[in-house]
Amino acid sequence: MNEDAKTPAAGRFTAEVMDRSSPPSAPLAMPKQVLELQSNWLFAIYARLVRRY
Amino acid sequence: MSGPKLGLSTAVLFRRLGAVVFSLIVSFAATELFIRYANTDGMSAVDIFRCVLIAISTAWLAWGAALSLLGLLYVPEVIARLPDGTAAKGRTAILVPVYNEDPVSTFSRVAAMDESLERQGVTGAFDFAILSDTTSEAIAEHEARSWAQLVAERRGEGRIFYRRRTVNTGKKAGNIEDFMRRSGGAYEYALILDADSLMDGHTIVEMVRRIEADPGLGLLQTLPTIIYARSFFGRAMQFSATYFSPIFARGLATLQGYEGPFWGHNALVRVRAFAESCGLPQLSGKPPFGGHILSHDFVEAALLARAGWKVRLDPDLQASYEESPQNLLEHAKRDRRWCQGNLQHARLLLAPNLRLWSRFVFAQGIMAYVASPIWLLVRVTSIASPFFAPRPDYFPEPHFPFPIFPADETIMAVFLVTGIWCLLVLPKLVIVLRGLFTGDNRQFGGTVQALVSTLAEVLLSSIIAPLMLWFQSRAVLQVLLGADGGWSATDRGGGRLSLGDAWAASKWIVLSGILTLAFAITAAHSMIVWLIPVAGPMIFAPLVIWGTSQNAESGWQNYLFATPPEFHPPSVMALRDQILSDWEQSEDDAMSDDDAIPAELAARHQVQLASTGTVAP
Repeated sequence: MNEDAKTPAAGRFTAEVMDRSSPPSAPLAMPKQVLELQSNWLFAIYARLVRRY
Repeated sequence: MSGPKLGLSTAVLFRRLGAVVFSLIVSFAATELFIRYANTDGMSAVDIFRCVLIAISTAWLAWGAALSLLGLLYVPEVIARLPDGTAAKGRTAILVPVYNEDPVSTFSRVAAMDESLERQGVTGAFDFAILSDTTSEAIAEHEARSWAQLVAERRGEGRIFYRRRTVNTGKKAGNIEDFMRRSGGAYEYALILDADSLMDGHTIVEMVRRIEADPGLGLLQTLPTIIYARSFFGRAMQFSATYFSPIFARGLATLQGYEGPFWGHNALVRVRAFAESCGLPQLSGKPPFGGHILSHDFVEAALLARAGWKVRLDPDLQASYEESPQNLLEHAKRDRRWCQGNLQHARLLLAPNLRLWSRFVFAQGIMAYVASPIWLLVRVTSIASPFFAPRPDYFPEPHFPFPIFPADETIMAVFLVTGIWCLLVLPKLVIVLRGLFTGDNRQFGGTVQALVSTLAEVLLSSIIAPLMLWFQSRAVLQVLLGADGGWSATDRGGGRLSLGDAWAASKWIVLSGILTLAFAITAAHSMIVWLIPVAGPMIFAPLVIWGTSQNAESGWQNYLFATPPEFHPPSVMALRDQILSDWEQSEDDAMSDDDAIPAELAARHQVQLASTGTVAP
């Protein structure tokens, strides 16, 4: 690393660091999991009561 | 769903059943005592409601006692691991998510762990990735400078990485997920840490040996020990976590089998299992119940188990450390966040295909916070109950000429309170007794010192409990009414509070305490004795909060709550202390340089702002 990288101007530094220090590029799929029921009647009642959702 | 089929051993099933039956028996006995006490003047609707509350509360307390009993009876199981001298084949990424924390403090831990791994001769198999979600530009610049220093000193180019997200999608879970999506394919395992985590290289290597020897193991959790506590409050928490928690953790380990917990840090995951199973969706609706999943760790453990991966807590793994809040207000602030996260799990109780134990764990997490408003209701209804009692009938027999006075069943209430106290305190005293026979007490300064610390911890817990009851009840109410607590950095640093700060944060508790006691004095004399242990700490809340936040590292205070790492600092702690000291010295030198002062001051100022929850733009 050069000395500039240690005392850079704000805004420029982060980009440089990200370019030169990032972990290896090795993409991995991470599918979103299904966690909610199609119909959650209990939460629907609560939401109606609180009038927020 | 490519993980192996996750079985449930008969022994684990029996232990679970045993713990449930024990809790139900204790709850039944407590409710029976209460009915006999309350029935002296006839049962009102309020009394029936109190019975239900008592049944729930005592079952919850008994469950905690059951965990400690199981922990005391714990017999370690044979664990698969690679033989000594066999190098693990898989590469490991050590992930350090940071969020507006003090970079010097955090990065010095990374340097210490790297040095500790080097001493194990395995640095080539491990990369560090510091994953910054920091929102303050000044702190981010400071992070980048500290990273440059870290890489230079540890010769870490190409293996110690730093990347910053400018958009913090998904908060900490999103931060880890971002790494998995971009770089997960390069690693077999990932050790997930917190900004305040510290682990010995030997422990990290041992964890990799264990996960590599068991292809079905998706996540291996350690029990982190609290270190670097300085205040009275912090050191009490530290002692409790070091002396009692391992026993509770062993109890938990025997109950959960391969459906163990993930506490979000100081745990090793199999990257493929995590990526396949733990992509968290956003929940429909707005926070606090909708949006990103806050307490993601419980959910990730449940998802791994759902996919058939083993999730295991190995309580024998030592030298895994974390830090904790130094005062009651910071503790309550963190608790507010956890409360929201756990209550959000109500949305997931019926999530498709989860294992029954995972649903039970969600329910436990919810109960951990709902228990407080339940106890509060017990107290409120107890004060109100005399006003709802039926008129006494001294002539219940129509043709009997003499009055029959109801029997005084106060002794039943004494039995009930004593029983509840035993559920809370007895396990701790048994742990002292166990330590006497196993020799474990020697690490805590001997049995006398351990006993004194235990009694002091019980006393402090009893004083703090009514305050936490109010803080947690308020948190539950806020969440139920839809208030989002946001995402503030936890300050595990200084922590010393002024009396003014303590008063400002707790005056509503003081007022509640005064009103409670005043009401009892004027309208419910019989309740005064029972209410003083609760109302007293409430009235003196500012003094309690202020006093316990003070430094307690010298003289007799150092004797109290002493833990093994204070007697004999482990090597990784000693390494970290040395590195931190050197870096702070170089920071001070940099600050003495005229050109550097403004930037350094600004960065330090931003750290302080962020640590108090005031995140700069």
